[in-house]
Amino acid sequence: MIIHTPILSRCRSGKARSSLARQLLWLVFALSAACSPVRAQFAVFGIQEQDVLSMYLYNGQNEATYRKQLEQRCQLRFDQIVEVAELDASKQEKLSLAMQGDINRFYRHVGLVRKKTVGLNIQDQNDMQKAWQEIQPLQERLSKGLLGDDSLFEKVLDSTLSSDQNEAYRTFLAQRSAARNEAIIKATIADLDRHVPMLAKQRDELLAAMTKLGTPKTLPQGYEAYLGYIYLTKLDSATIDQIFDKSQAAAIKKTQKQYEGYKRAVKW
Amino acid sequence: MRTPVTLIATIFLLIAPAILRGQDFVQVVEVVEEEVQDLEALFDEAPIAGVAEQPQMAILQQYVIVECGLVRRACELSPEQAQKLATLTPAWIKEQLAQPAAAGQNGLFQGIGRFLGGRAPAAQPQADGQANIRRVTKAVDKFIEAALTPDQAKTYLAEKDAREKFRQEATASVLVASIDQEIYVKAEQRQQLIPQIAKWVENKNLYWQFYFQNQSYIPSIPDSILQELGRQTSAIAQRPQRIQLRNGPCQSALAVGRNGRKSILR
Repeated sequence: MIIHTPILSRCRSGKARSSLARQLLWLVFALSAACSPVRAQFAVFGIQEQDVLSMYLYNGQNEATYRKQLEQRCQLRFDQIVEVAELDASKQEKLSLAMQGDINRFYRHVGLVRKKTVGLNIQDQNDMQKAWQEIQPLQERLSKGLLGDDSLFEKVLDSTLSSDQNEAYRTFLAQRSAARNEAIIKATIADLDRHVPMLAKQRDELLAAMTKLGTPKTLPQGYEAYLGYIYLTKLDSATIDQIFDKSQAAAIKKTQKQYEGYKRAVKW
Repeated sequence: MRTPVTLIATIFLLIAPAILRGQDFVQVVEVVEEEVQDLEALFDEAPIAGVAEQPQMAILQQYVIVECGLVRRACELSPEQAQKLATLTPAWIKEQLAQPAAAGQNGLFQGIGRFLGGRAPAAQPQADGQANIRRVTKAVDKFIEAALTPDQAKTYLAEKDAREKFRQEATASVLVASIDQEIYVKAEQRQQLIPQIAKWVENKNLYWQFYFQNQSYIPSIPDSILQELGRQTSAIAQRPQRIQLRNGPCQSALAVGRNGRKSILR
């Protein structure tokens, strides 16, 4: 096949012409291999490349802003532990190093994912699926908390705190968890009261009966919003009959049945 | 000579289908216009006002059921009083909804404007809907209070106040709990924040579950209240995902549907 181009027509011999054509073809192949279609679009039209990580991981923020906020949140937790457990300087330093270690480890993982996702086309569903597979573990890590249970920070904390300090810290966490549970129970009763009208005395009795049930040992992620109803399902029929009149009790028991499935996922 | 003739013939051949298509297009437009006119006539005959009224009716019926349930438990009603409250039927609500709202100052100015040749203001169905709900709930409250003796009314109003206080405190506590997930609120801070947020959430029916289902979002509480948190405030203030979600009529209706918590009591 002869390609008629002004450059080729200038070539005198057929041999030279075919050699130049081959070179040009190689150049086209090399360029197309180097530039993905998406990159070519960004390069040609001057569009700023969209960051998949920013979209999926940082809620649309840039990495620097998000990192600053993340570090600030970690620092708040660190400060709270230092205050609650009254840590001395050497223990603070150990914990601070562990915290930095967790942050750095997370961003090393981010760096690896960035390399894998660079150049993926955000308009292409398959590309986005690939990106999501890479980003999902990072997102899970963030939602569990960077300084969560399986973090270096938590391990160092366990080995660093004395038994008194550990007890003070665990008490603080238990109080925090109890305050959250009570708040959710109260809000659930208030919601329930919009459909099953109760007297002030009945509300107080229901709140007391539910908070008396204690705190669940494990609560799966995403179950917090339903925690109040999970507590409700734990109430026995006699308690409900004691607090409420017949029609109220029937309505409460009907609601209990609707949340039975949630109860199974929570360990007490 | 041949060239212009060929050119004209070619142009004619090219534009002929377009002309024909244009005629078809005009015919199609005429048919569609006729259909639209028919549809408009149909809607004029049977106005869709009834459809728009349904969410208001559902909310108001729920309100009546809950208030009657509360008053029945708070006060020992005589058979006559119970009978009177039983007249708060959907038909009564519909009648109240149908009554025109009293023209306020804006209405007066708008009336003068229209008299002087101005245009009628654009309709605000959502705002009107909310105003109608408020107007009818007030009428329900008035009706119930009128049916009670002074002592009964006092007991009923005390229960209503206690309920409102409980709701405000519950919402405030749960909002503090949602912030706590983010910044570790101390017990003293919690105690200081809850009463202040409770004042702020007055009459706000917030969709609090959202903050536990989407933990990257935090409630939009005014910074003046969050001052109590000191240095932690800046951690919240920098967060772009600060939003406030209210339980509007739609969310309420969905919640009722999803949880099956219908108006069970009377």
